[in-house]
Amino acid sequence: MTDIATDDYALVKRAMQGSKESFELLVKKHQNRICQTAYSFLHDYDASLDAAQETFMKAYKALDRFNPEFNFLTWLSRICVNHCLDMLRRARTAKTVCTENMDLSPDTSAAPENVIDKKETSSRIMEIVQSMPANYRTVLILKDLQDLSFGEISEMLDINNSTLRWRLHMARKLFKNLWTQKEVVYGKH
Amino acid sequence: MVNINCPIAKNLMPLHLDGNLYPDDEAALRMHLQSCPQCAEEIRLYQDAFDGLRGAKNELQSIAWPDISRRVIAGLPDSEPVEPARPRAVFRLRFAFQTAACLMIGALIGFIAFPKLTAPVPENAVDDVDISNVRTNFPELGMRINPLNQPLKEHFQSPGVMVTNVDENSPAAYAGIKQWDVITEINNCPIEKPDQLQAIFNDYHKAHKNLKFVIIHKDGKKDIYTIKLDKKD
Repeated sequence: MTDIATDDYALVKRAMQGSKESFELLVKKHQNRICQTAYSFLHDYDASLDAAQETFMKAYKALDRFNPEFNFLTWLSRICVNHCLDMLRRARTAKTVCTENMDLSPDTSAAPENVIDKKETSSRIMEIVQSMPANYRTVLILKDLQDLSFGEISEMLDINNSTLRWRLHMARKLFKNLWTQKEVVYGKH
Repeated sequence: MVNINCPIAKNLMPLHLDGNLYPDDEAALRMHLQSCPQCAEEIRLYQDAFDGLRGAKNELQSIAWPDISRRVIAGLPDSEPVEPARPRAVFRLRFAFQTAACLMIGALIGFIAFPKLTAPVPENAVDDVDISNVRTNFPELGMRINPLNQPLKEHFQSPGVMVTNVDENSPAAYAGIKQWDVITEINNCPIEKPDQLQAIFNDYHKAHKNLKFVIIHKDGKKDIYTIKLDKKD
């Protein structure tokens, strides 16, 4: 883990000196995780790719603010999470201002045909996750879908460990309630 | 073995499914589940939800992502290498220059608009005022006052009376009033002539009240002093 981190930092330093090749290596190394993180928030393939690209571009511009004490991937994920939450917030505001049918939300494009094509369960889970409050959604995604450690998440979200554990507990409880509710609704149909 | 109730059992369930439960708690939870059908159903629901999440996680990890590195690199600005300290230093330098410029302009405007504030107090300015028939000596307070002439009124931008002498160890000296101070108000009443001071002094002395002086010092600073009055015999 430390090897990877120091390796990352060497690449970051070279990228800061203007080496785009070094930055390209960083992108190649972390793009899958960042795309996954974006997808778990946005639930839209194309939007996730855009968000990942945006994340890397933001990171490049802010390389001088990267603290070498932290893990580079954690730092990137933090940028990605903030960007995705921002996108969702903007989409929601736009949606309330505009008419309901306008296709502005990133996850509406994944709606009818994709849901039928892909496994219904995971779509349902994503729907439930999307409907949860942002605080709970973020910890649930990062812990249960991204499988990050408590240390990484608390560093990323800037909250202490016990707050994080409590929030995760509440998020799981809420998820379980919503999940069973959905099941009842689906069972009736 | 410790017996646990339903709320505690419900709190332990996610930890149990995570595999993060201490052996003692684990055993207590198992025992509770055997005797409580509601909690057994609850943990089944939890298990179901966790399975769903795990499935979603696996599916998420199985999604194939294209290589976006080319896209990212193509979108990067063709700028100079990112230097850590430089942009901030430039910012600080610019900020310092702006602040300095603002201060200088402010000072200049101040000098132009209020030249009288910066001019020295004219010496002997009180000499050219006719003070005949005016009581200017207040031995009760230990000070001598004179009316302000026009140039001094303009200088202090306020009417008032000037203290031309303060006796040592007098009430005025104790209160902090100094020579060349200008009294502009006493007990919220604006003072323009020494006579007014006399009238107010008499009134308040009878009533055994304090006198609150608003003073402008030579340097233009404003202060409030209080003189305590003893009861008149």
